[in-house]
Amino acid sequence: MSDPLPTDVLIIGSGMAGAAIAKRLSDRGVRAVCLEQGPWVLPSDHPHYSDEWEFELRRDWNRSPAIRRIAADYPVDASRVDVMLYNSVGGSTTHYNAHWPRLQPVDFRKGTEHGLEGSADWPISYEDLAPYYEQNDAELGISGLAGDPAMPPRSPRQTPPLPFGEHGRRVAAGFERLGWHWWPADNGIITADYDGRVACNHCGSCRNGCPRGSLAMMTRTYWPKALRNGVELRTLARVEQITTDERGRADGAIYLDLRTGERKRQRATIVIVAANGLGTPRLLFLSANGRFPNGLANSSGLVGRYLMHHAYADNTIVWPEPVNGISGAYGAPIFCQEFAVTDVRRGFVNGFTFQIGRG
Amino acid sequence: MSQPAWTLTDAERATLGAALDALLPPDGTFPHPSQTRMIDDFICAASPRLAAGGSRILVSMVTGCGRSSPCSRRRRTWPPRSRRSSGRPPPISAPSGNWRSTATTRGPRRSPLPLGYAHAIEPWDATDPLQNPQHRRGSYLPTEAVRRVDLGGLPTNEERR
Repeated sequence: MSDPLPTDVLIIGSGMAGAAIAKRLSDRGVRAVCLEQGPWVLPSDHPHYSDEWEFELRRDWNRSPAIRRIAADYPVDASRVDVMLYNSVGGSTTHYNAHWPRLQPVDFRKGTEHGLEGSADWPISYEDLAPYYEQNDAELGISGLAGDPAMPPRSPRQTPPLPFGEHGRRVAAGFERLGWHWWPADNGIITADYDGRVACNHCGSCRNGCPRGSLAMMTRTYWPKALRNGVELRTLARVEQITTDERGRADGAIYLDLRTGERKRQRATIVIVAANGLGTPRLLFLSANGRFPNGLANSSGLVGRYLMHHAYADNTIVWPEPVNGISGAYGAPIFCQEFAVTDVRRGFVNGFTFQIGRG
Repeated sequence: MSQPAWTLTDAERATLGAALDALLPPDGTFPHPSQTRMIDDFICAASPRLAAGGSRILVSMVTGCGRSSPCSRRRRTWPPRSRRSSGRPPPISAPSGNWRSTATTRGPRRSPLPLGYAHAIEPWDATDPLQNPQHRRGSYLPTEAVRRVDLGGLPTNEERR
């Protein structure tokens, strides 16, 4: 079979970034093709209707590909870190909590603030990014409340905050007694119908995805619009190598059609790799050639190094009385920024945020 | 027409009729579907093959009928075979039995999912001071205000040990 026709832009990966890029480019009439190694996940594929839906969190819907081992996954060593990703249309947004905090302005200036452990300022600032936060929020529908004094101003949220529940109110009361900051948190979970999607029913199983589409999954937000715009999304298309032209610039990709077993080459003027923190460096290494023996985009030797984790620790609050803590979306109804900014009197730099979840 | 392959309760029939009226609004040539025999002749009397598929699932989803009705019995076979079991496994059922509020642990269909807990949790209340902060605390450091912090106050590695 012949190779597909060349396109303006080739996007590798259909997750959060790939979906947003596909939609945005196609809004402006750019021809785009997206290659996704996984399949579509349909509402009936989610385990919400199974009697064993809790077990599915540890089984076929486990966040770690090393455990669930679905056909679209590639080998990952998860022995030292918890790996959370999913290989399907929509990527990891197929099952995630969708808690939706923004970075603070100082997070972009850690080199200026302390410079420890090689910390460097970002080449952009919060103000550069803020318009895109807003644009993305409007596309996806965010529940929350504008006006938080601990963050730069933002536009009114698309839907009201998630329900607090009794446990949320109790935690808020505790923060009040301590005089700490707290605020209804932003979540990528709509609490009212929005943009053709229905409101959350608080089933609480966001980690198994959301067959209703109330969770901001790319399959229910960006992709329907991108497809209407004419983007071609090829599923079960596993990219094996990014190709380069005589000038050393990326000019396409060779991929395996997992339906037929055929290898094909997709040529493009621009190649965008949006394959998550593991898949992107993996693919750049796999694309090594005679001109770039250490992989593509790796003249610095830093590809695959200094992966920045979103570190978190969780603690469980046990109340003496029933508070129905299992009710409600799994996101975080409240967050606290009391300790978000560096204060060396605490004995360390940087800070942390409390997210009050459910479970 | 053929005999109904299965039956509906009055509540199910009313709900389904309303849904059909919304989906197929009347025009000059077609009345409200609920005023026709559409439910009896096309859904309840559907062929076994059709009844085993989409129409029954649709009715089950739309009407939210109870466990004892035919459509919910059908629903129990809906999940893929690989994900089906004869009942909730004992390790899952046991802790649920300790919850006091069955409204919380069981949805209207006596199963926690997929109907969720919208019936058991109040929406966010803007008038509640424990949901909408009245004392607006906190501040942030604007980009232009970021300065080098004095790291002299940090403990040394020796002190940390």
